[in-house]
Amino acid sequence: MSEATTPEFPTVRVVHRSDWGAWLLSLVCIALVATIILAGIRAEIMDVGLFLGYMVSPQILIGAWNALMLGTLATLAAMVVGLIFALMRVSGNPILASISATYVYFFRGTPMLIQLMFWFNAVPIMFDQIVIAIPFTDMVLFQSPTTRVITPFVAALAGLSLAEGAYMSEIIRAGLQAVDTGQRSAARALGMTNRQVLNRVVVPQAARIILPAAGNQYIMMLKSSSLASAIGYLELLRVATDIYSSNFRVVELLAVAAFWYLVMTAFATALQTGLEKAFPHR
Amino acid sequence: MSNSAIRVVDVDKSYGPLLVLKKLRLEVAPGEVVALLGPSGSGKSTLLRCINHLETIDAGRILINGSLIGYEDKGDHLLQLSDRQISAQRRSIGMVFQSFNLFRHMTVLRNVMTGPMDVLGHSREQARTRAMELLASVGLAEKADFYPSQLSGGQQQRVAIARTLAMDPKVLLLDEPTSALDPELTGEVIATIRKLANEGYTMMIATHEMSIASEFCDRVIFMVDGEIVEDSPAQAFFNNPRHERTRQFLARYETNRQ
Repeated sequence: MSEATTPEFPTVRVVHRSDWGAWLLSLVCIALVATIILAGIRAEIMDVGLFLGYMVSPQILIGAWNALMLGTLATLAAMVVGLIFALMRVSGNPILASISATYVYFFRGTPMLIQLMFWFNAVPIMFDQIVIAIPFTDMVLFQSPTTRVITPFVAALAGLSLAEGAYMSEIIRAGLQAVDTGQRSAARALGMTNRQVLNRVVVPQAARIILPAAGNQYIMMLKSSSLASAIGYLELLRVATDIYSSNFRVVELLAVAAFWYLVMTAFATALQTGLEKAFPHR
Repeated sequence: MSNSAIRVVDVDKSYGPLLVLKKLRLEVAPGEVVALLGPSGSGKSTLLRCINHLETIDAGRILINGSLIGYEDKGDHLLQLSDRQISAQRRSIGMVFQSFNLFRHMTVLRNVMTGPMDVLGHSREQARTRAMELLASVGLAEKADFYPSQLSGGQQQRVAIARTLAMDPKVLLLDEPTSALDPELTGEVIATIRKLANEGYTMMIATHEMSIASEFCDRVIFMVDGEIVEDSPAQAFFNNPRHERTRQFLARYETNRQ
């Protein structure tokens, strides 16, 4: 502390107010959480040994792996679908734009679970055979009954990707529109074609803007993969359900599933943080 | 003047009901440096953006070194060229923007390399060597690995000029190159532009900076409401403006300066 140089104002301590209300509220929160945990322990809702045993059981691990794969592939596919529909939306062509808007409305406006069941049940009725042939010739490249092609995994992947694609397309559209129009002008003035402007300037900049929101959607998608249990895909929740419906250890198995979802979320969060660090805002 | 570097013939341009350019007509000789003056909204920027076909035109034609820009002459009509053809034409028309518009996700060096590499197909080494030469010539070689956001406005604009020069343009269009800069930073950019003028580049400079127009432009074109009011050699423009509207415009600048 420096010496007082002005006689009428001696150097004194500066005291700032503390926010006692926030500290009080923190104590209340801790007390509430402790009460809930204590109630759980007192009621012995869970056999910890059983919980730890199931946590690393092969069935559960396969389920967790399947969930991770389904969620990841669906997110990647949704990004491609979303990019296509976002580009249609900003294309300036009224028909493409309305098709895109309608897609977003339908797929964002109906529950994912309904969409999954639709793909799994209705499509094989609508198309009993899937045939890939060269038009105007008799050459058939691929032919198979639809029920054999639309496995639970395929239906889940298609359903989740299309539903998620609707959300992604809105996120990507916002990202594309957030790129300053001057960047496009400068790229075109350099002689870049529309495609080059998109690939070299607009998409890289939009990707950085989209990243936080896309990471959020990835985390949601990892958990939405549990919806595939409804159409018989052996993902984490389905495996856990199958086990507890025979041994009735509901809490342990739900806790095991929750644990692995948390691990996946931690992985996705780390991935997102890493990407954000690798591509800082410029 | 049939061998004009830039020729604008009876160009009309409107945004909806608003006529921005009205039967505009001008020529710029090779090596000539022309200042475009006029109040905001007089159509200066629009004119420059039409010249490299960043904006379409409604009537008339624009020629650079004798070749029609943006359209193909089909006798009874002009047909807009394809994206690829227009892009090819823009390679030889450099443009510098008021807001610099450096690519934010690229380093300074990459900004200057991207045109030659990605558009002209030059090798990485060739593009890098040329980019470093250009950055040195605008005095920013030591900033090569910085990102645009780490540079001052004046430095960004000098990089933007280097990026444009990397394409070896035949003509340069500068759209209010100093308008977004703090007054103490305009000097470095003006010095860079003056150097280009001395090197013989054909330039059109839309500006509100009288020192650009008076110190090194050969000619001044004064626009109001999408029409050319006065088109005179720079000295005559400032010393004996012919039109009342020009005198009013110049008088306002004089009072502002005092």
